[in-house]
Amino acid sequence: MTGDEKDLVIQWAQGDRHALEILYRRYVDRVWRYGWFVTRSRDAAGEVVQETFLKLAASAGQFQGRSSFSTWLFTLTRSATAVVLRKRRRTFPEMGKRPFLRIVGVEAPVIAPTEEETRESVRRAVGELPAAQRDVVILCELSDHSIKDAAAILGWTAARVKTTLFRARQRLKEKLASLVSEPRVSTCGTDV
Amino acid sequence: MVADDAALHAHLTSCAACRSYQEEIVRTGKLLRTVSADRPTNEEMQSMWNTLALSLPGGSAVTMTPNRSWRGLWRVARYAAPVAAVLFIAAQLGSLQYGGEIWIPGLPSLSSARMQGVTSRKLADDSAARDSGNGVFASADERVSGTSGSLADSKEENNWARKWTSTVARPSRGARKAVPGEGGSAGGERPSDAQLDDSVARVRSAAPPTLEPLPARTATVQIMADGHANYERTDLLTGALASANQADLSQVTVTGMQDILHSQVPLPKDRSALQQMQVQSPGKIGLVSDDRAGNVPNQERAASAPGMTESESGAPSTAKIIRTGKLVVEVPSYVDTAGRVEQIVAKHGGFIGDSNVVELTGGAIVGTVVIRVPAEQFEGLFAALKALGRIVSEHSDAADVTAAYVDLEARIHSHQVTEERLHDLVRNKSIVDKVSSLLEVERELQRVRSEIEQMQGELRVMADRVALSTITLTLSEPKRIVPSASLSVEVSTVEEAGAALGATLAAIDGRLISGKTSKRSDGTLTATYQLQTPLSRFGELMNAIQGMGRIEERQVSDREFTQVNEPWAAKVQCNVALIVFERSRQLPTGTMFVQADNLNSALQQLESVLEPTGARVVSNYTMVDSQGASKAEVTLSVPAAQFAALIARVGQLGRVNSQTVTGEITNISGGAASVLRDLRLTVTEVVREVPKGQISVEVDVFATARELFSTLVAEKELQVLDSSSQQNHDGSWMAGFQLGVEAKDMEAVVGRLESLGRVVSRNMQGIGLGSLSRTDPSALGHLSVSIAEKSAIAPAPQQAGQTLRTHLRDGLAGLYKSIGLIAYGLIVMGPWLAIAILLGWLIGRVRSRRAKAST
Repeated sequence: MTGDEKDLVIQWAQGDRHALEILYRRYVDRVWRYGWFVTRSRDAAGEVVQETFLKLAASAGQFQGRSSFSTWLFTLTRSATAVVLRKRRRTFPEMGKRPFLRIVGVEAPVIAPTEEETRESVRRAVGELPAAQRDVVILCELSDHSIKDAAAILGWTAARVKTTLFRARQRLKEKLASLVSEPRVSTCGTDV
Repeated sequence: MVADDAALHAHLTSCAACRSYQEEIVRTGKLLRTVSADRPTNEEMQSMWNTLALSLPGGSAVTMTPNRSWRGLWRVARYAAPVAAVLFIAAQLGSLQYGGEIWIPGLPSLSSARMQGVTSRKLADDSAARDSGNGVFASADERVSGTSGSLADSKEENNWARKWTSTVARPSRGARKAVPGEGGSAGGERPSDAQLDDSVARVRSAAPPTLEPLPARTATVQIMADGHANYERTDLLTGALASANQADLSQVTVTGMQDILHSQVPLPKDRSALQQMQVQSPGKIGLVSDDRAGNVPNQERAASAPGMTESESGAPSTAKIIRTGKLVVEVPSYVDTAGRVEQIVAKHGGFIGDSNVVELTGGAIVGTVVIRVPAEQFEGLFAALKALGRIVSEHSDAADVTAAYVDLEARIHSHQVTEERLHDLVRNKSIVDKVSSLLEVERELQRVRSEIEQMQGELRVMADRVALSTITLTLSEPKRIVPSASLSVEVSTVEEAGAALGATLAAIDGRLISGKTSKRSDGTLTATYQLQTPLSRFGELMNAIQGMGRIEERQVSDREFTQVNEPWAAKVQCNVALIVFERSRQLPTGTMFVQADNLNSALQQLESVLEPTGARVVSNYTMVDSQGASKAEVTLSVPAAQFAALIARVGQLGRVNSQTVTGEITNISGGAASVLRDLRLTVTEVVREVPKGQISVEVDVFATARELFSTLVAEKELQVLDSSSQQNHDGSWMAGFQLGVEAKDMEAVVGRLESLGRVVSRNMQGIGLGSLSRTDPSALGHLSVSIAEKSAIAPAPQQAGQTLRTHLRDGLAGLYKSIGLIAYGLIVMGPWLAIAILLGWLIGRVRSRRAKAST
């Protein structure tokens, strides 16, 4: 698989456009999803895809095959996302910041949320995670990468990925407490 | 690991809290799964790809071909190749045109090939000319054969270079043609290439010449040619001379025109070698000086002129020389000198043939006479004629016709012998036995005889020309310098200047050749004159013109007319071009506003005001405004000279409110004075205040007042513009009227109205028709009249109860109003109060939470 992608990159570097298209079809989902969860906007996600693949197209010659293709692609995606966010912030300054005003002390009505509502709150929760946790969640939970893959992509140790993932889950659990909906009982032992 | 798992499972089953925690975590994971299906739609994917494909290098979704670098090279080459081709062709054409050098890699250097080509071509050219010329030069061929041979070789080497040669060598050939041919050097027609080759070959194979020794002498040879080719030619020349060198030759100095080409070369013994030099030179080689060791007699020098060999120059005693001379002499007076010339010519045994006299501009006479004189007297006469005056040019020539003379004599002699023999034939009749033969002999005899006579005639003419030399003498009087002038003078008036000029011309005997006066757009005049005056009075005319006014421009040619006092100066006419003009003017125009007491009288007065100035009324527009004030707008047209006078007189009409004048109004003279200019005059009357006002009268009985009022209206013929009346609740009447009253009646009407009853109010403006008012008596003034009947019920006095009631009412109203204001204030404060309460509640809640947390 990896060798195949490496070949495709080389073919593209030699001018074969089909190779790039194959790579695009294969990886657009993951790139888009990363952009989508970080920016929480379909337009911005599209831009992330554009940026990423343009970077890929331009720097295909620099890909040596020392790291795996997905690692490289994710590096590109992260920097592309940063670019898009920077660009967007210039246009929509409030984007990516915490909500300006939250309604205080008003409990959500006790109506079961719809599926889409649920998903939306999950997305929001993911987006609000700290960057490292968010990346791990997106990679491991949302993009079917193994811990090892994620470690390679992020350049971390597997242990760190695991820890971060665990913290992320805990944070998400708190954020999505109403959805997880279980009477709160104090846990035994120490609080993690 | 497994043990750990088992322990974990065991703990989970036992600990509900941890189990629930774990379940929550799992649930969270599940929740996350729900969004892991988030992906772009197919349309989004495709559109993103399309956009991406457009941004990719290459620009379109078309698959790129490899080897980009080669494609780029091809793209460059596709355009570069035609451009390079065009540049190359242009460069070639340019070099053809201007003879510049172009270096093209891979091709032989053009410059060297061209130089060699030029050299060989010229040499071949010259040798061909030599061949086609006379045999005198044949002996010199060998001297250059070595050089020409090598050059011819170089020509063959570079065959294609010859094409260049023929183009590039053209200017030098033109230069050669421009030089007058001397000997055989001009060469005549340019020979073809084949001819050239042929002649070069012949030069190479020519036999060595035999040279006759000559006395040693020196010569200066001047080369008139251009460019560095000269050096080469000098070398060639030197080489040629050196090869002809013999022990007894002396030095030749060669000088060039631009670069000094001094080179000391030995002179060949044979004169033909000098001509050889001429032949070889690219330009002209002139024999500047040629001195033998001793004095060479004039005749011999003439005999040794180019074109004749030494042997032919022969004995001086038998030489037949035709001598001609040309002489131009400047003499003070032609008439006087002509008489002396006749005397001199007669003294030398000569006579005057043709004569021709011309008078030049300024009266100088130039005459030409052709004098024939015996040859032996030529020198003496020539010298005597030269003494007549200043020699302007002098030329004498001796043409040697000895050869032709001798030849003619010999031919006559041989013809005479033939004639003698024919005579013998006729006399003997031994051979001539037939009539036909006899006739033939007779015919031949006749022919020979006529030829003899013809040749004898020629011989006689020649002898005559040899015996009598010809001198063409031109006598010219000194050139007379005739001044001419062109002036431009600014004068006050052209008319006066013209009159003055006429008087001056009459006084100095001058003439007016032509004159023209024209008018410019501003009316000023310009006159152009062509004058003629005798040279002797030229100065006077100039002074007179300069006294006429300011000199704008003066141009006098040949000012140094020192010949003014010459006797002929009174007859010679000088031309003077004179322009006399008036200063151009900014002609006046203006507007005036005058306020008069009475418009009509002012307008009547205007006519008398205008009369002495010659002004006319061009347009007149009178109007009366609603206030009865009149205004007249008059446009006056007046000659520019009278403009100032008109303004002054118009000022008499009344008070001048404003006055605007542009342009000059003083000292306008000449043509501009009569130009009509406009003055826009506005005459207004003093503003009038038409009487108007309001009066209010209270009467006891309305009906009586009404009647009186009606009487007044009828009596004074007042105009009732508006009337209204009404009855009050208490039954009393009130009426209001708007009256139009003539100004002159206003005061009376108001007085009558006042007498109706008690005047409640009165407010009048502009009443009176005194001299200060200047009101038009018939102007209509407005008067507002109100007549009110006294109220029947007198108002009751105010009571205390009423006051209380009023107070009460006012107090209640104040209360209501206060309550309303309080309510309004509460409504405004409401939201702020709510926020304050909310804040308080929040703070309390937060505090209680903190307290709870701390516990």
